[in-house]
Amino acid sequence: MALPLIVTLWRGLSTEFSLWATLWQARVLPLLGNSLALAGAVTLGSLVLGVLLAWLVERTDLPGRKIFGPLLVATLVIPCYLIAIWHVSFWGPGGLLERALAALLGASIKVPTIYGFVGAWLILVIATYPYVYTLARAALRSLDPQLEEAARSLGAHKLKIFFKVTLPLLAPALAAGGLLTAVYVLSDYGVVATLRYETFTTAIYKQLAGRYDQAPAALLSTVLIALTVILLVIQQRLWGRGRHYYKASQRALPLVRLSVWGRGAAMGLVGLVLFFGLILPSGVSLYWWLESIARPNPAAALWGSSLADLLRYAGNSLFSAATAATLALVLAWPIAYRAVRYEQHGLTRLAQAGQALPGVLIALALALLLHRFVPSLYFTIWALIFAYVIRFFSHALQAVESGLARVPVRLEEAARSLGRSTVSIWRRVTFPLVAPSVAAGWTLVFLNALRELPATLLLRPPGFDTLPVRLWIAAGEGFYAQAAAPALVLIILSLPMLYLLRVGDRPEVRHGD
Amino acid sequence: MSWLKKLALVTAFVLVPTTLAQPWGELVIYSGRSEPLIVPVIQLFQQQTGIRVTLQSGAATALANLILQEQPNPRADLFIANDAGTLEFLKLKDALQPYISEQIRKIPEQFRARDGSWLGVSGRSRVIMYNTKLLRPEELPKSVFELGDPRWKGKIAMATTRNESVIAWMTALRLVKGDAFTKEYLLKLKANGIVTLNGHTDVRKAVGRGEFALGLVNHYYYHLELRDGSPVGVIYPDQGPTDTGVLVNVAGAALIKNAKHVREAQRFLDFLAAPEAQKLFAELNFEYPLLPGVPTAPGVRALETIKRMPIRLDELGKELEKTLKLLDEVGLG
Repeated sequence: MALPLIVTLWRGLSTEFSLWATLWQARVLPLLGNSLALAGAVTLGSLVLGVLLAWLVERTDLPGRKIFGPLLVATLVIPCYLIAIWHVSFWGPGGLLERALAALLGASIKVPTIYGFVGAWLILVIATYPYVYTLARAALRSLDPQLEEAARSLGAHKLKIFFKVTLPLLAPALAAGGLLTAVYVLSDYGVVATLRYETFTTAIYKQLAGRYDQAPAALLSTVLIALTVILLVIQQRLWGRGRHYYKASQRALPLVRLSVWGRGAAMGLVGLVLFFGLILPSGVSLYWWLESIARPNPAAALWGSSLADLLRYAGNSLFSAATAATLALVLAWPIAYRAVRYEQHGLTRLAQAGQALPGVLIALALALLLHRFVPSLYFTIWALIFAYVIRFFSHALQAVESGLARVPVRLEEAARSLGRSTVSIWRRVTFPLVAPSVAAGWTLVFLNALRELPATLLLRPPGFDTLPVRLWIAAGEGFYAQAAAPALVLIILSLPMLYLLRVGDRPEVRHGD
Repeated sequence: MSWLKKLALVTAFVLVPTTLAQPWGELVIYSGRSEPLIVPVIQLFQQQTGIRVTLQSGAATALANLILQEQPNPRADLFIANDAGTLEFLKLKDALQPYISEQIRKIPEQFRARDGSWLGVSGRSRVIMYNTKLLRPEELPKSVFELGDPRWKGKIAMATTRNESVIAWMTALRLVKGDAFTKEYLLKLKANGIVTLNGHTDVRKAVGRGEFALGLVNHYYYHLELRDGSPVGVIYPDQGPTDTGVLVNVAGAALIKNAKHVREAQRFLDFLAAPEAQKLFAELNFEYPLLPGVPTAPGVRALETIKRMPIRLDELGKELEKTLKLLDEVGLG
């Protein structure tokens, strides 16, 4: 699994120094600025938003908080490149909003541009706050009420309690959520490409799709890998230092009473977040879908948006995602088993590296690798499936590991003492006990592969289009009505998976980048 | 078994066979052209000949790369590209095989490879389109070289530099004006905040909406946007007696070396050079038909009235890699 990483690094580091010198000034420095600025701003934004929402839902008497609690993670239903596409078709120049304003007021009003940093920031905050929100909610629930009560009895003000007591207790969860967000932003392709904000991933994509020499792409990738690795190392460190406090009291924390104004503001905020993340994107996609039915475009046939075509794309998506998920679990089993039963974690760590790597990068690495060593696999369905497996392997691994960790070794030892072989023990004893975790892992890999965009764009074999690819190509040329049908099918296909996973409890559901 | 699992199983049984049974046609085409612009032509060919075609659309350079990598056992029989440079580049890499027929000889020699390695099918010139609500006639630039002027800061859009029409135009600039001049010019464009969009359709729509005053496009994108009812005009730049002229490039097709369906591919090439297909390119897409006697679409400026850059199309292929290197140095997206 780490092979692609090594190949890319080797290729990047072995390029001539003159290329480094050329690209450093012209490409690397500006891209570094762009990527870091965006990652920083989005992390900050989603930390503030995620904690605020978690606090409102868990700790205040916000009306309807029981409904809002799960609803606030429902934005994960829509892949984030789709959120970006629909927002652009709504706010963008000549978009639905400008059209509606022109129809209602008769005057043409220009909406401020959504393209660029601000738009990318907004969409990515909407896309990533659920990571922070989920972790912060769990942390808030496990807080010991006595700590805050002690502070209050000493006369501390509400705000002071929040900043001096609650927030420090949340710190490990926040650090984890924040780093998850930052890594996500660095690896995102769909949102920044839609909003015309250039980062490493879009630059690497352009190099891969538009150049014959892949050395510059490998070089840019090397810098991106370095950035990601730095973030991951920090994450590991912080994770290791996660402080645990003894929760003496099982009482629930008292709810904070919001004033009328506070309640209004809180409802406004929740409403706004749901509007941006859920209501507007689904409304706009329904609108375009209805428009494609009401006013059939003569060019529609050319876009391959007939029902038969849709079924074929859905079939392609389901087939490749299901195969990848199955393969990932089969490969994860022995590694996880070794890690859990024999405490050998080296392989696991290495395998997890793939998770943080952008899809664009995995595509590049696979292209370099397969082209050199197994050209017959290059640009086949198997190359694509292999890319999915690498990219989402860590989900499979974690699922199997956590399942195995809960199976007492004694059970296996007992079976062995009865003369069973290893395979037989796995089949008869271990596997039935681990099955639920395996199913969850499978679903997770499947869902993420179903939505995968950048690696699919670069690696799909001729004639093999998936739903994300079709909607991406149509939307990329501004044919939103033709993008609506595959988009809706994609969302509908992922609904049962998200339900199965009870998405709110899992920060590892990627938002499809 | 829950209903959910049943549903999943049923779906799988219906869909997996459709996936696995995707047939390769009797003719496999890799096309770098925008899909809606080539599908009608392929549909007409299928109607006329009954030959089933598998079309893979994508970025031309990526497909060209794929063709190089698939040698000597290619999956595709035919390559359709937007630019003579890409085709000639493949020829120089020995990935094409020549084909000349009676029909193909009717296309003027300047628009095809001398040895028959590739065939120009339709012509296009590199123009500037503008939004008529944003610019008055007296404000219009007369030359592409004016676009480095701070007056145009933030007002110009072009397609990404991974687009082969854009690359060909830059190669032409290098050949006519020299490397140093071209690099300086591109740096000026970059400093002027020129926005590179995903493709030319994006550019024409953005100019049509008034998001940008000017767009660097192939001439037919102006006509397509005009047909959609947008307030746009066109400038044929650098037409003065001492000026460089505009680049006239061709979209073309080529037979891939070691192709498995050579006869079908040859029939397709003949079909592209025949009047019906030539008419389609002219009428659907406002391109210049290259077969003498086929008229351009109404409203399209005739090729003969345009001052053209003094460049042979095969030179674009030889110089391609140098241009890409220059682009990396400039750092234009």
